[in-house]
Amino acid sequence: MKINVRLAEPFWRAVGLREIEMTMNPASRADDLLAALREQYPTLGMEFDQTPPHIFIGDVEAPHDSLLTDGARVHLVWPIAGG
Amino acid sequence: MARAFISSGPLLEVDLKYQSTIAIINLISGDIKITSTTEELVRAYLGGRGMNMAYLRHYLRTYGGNPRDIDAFDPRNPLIIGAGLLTGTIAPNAARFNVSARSPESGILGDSNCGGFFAAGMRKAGFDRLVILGRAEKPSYLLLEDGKISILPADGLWGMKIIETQEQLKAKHGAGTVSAVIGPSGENLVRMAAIMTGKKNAAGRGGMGAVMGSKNLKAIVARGGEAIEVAQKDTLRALRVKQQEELKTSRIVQVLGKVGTPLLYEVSNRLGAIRTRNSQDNFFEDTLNGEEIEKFSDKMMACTSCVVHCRHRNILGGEGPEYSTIGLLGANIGIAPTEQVIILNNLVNDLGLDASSTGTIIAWAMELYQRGLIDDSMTGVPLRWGDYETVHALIEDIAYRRGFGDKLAESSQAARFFPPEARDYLIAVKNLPQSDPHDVRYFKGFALGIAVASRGADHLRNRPTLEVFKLPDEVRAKIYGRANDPDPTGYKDKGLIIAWGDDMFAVSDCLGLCRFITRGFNSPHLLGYEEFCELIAASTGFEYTPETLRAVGRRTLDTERLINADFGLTRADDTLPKRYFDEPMPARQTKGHHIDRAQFQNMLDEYYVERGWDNDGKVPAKKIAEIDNITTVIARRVE
Repeated sequence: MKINVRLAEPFWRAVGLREIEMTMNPASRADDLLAALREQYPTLGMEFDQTPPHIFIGDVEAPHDSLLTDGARVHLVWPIAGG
Repeated sequence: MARAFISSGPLLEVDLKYQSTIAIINLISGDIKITSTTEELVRAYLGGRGMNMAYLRHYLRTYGGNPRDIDAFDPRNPLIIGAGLLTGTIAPNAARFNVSARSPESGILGDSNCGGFFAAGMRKAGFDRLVILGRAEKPSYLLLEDGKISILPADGLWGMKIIETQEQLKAKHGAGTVSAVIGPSGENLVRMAAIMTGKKNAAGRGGMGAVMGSKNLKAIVARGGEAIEVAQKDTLRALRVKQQEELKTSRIVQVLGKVGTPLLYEVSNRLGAIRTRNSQDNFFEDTLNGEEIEKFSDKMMACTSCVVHCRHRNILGGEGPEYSTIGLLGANIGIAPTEQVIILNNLVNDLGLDASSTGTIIAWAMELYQRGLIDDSMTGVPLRWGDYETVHALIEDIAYRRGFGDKLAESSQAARFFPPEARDYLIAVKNLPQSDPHDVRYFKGFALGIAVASRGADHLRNRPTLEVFKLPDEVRAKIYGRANDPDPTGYKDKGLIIAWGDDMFAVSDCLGLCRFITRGFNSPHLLGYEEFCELIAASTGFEYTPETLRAVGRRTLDTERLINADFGLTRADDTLPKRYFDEPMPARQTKGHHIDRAQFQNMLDEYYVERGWDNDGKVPAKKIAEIDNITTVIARRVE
């Protein structure tokens, strides 16, 4: 299944892309997606090591074990809220 | 160089080698008294915000009457400009100073914190703190130079915008000159006028620029002097190297140095927490994301001794914008094009307006127009969301008090021109428009924070950003001193967390340090009490423990509470905009969230307990006596 991944600041800078389309096995979970991204983009994996992302599926923040569905839009966001 | 009069004298009393030199300047008589702050007072308040509060309370009470009778534009309202204890030293990010007075915007405690290079220059010129009283007969400015102060005529400067004023002063007084100036907004007593120390660096909150304007004071200029003497130079240098190395390994420090605060826009927007169209909506366009702002940036700028470099220099002639400005002059008024928001950012800065209040007040007016509570007969033109041309013109009209802009120049006090229900749509607390673009209905600690912030709705007093980090229980317990509820959208334990932030950030302000290296603001790491203790010892020889240092923060908060009590504030004023209670957020992750009134009162109860105040939010008599005892020395020293 296809998953559209959008990378927020500063994650996208590790790969130079704002959006990535990932192909995942059916019944994959968000954690599997992160693992696949780590494998494909090691520099992004280093970012995740420093600051694990908040995962949004569609408009909703989702736990890392959330099931993904074909065509899902996943937004990986830095855990921050300052001013 | 024509000098109206020169009346500074020698330093009268000296208690400390690294003491706080203070000048009391009477603009009516021209008298200037230069003295020092006693060691006892420095130990109690350090400097910066805390020390300003001690002096502000003293001066507001010194006339013997009710402080409420001293209008913000009354010549008796003191304008206090105070550098932090470490400001101007090589301590990391030690650039900051506070400007304090009765606020013409909120009517209560006014206090604004600012970076740049001015405060270090002020200290090098020989002054840690200025208390400016009275009103000059003609437009004037102050020149601080090698331990002396001159009051000079501001001929030719009055009427100038910020950048031109700063350039003229630099041309007149030479390279190395730094200045804190007001623009047309301050001159015209716009209640949200800022004092600017650079193209963007602003003492913006609470209308301190209008207080300066009411004193006929266009600028304060500092030049000359020596490096600031410290107790243990080598130790401080070693600390700087060590702390700088540690700070530079922080990911947030690295990212702020690349993207600046605009990185926060996307985060809030994704969540559905970006104030949009006066908080009727909670998400907006991606055109204001960090990388879009970056396209207009040619350099990242720093303040004195900064290791972060968070400020964009934009290619449209200004600096910034920050996240707050992007949100409040963008999403909050419905303007999406990146370039337009940057132009508006540059405009408010050059006119000397507080971007936060300006964006909030214009959005308020737009919603009133949308609802038919005001119409063209008052506004002159339609006020429509996203109408850049109208907003641009309106900002200028606010600064010059023309047409409808003259009404909005009153900031939250413009409510008197509108129907009574207009107040329901004002996003302000204690009459101060909310500073940041984060809609606080989702994270309940954020809501409590702006409700109790001493200067009104402001995130920089205590924002518990660690709430969103999902830190392990044991880490949170270690930070805050006891176990606490991890749910940032719940109401439990928020009093504990806000009181912790209050104190940490107050101490940081007393020292003159930047939020971006202060523990608890965007990171559980960075510099906290232990590192502050080391810096203070190396700079002054004063020994503190984390506990005694936190007590300085507590004392600062207590003093601020007492000042506001003098202005008549009570528990009822620790509240939120009506919309945050009564209207659920409309979309995205935050959908449905609002602040439950009963739960909010429970948070307030808990907060007061953590602060050691009674259930009405009053500082107990024992603490008042302690503060009175510490601050009685002010009267002996300055009068």
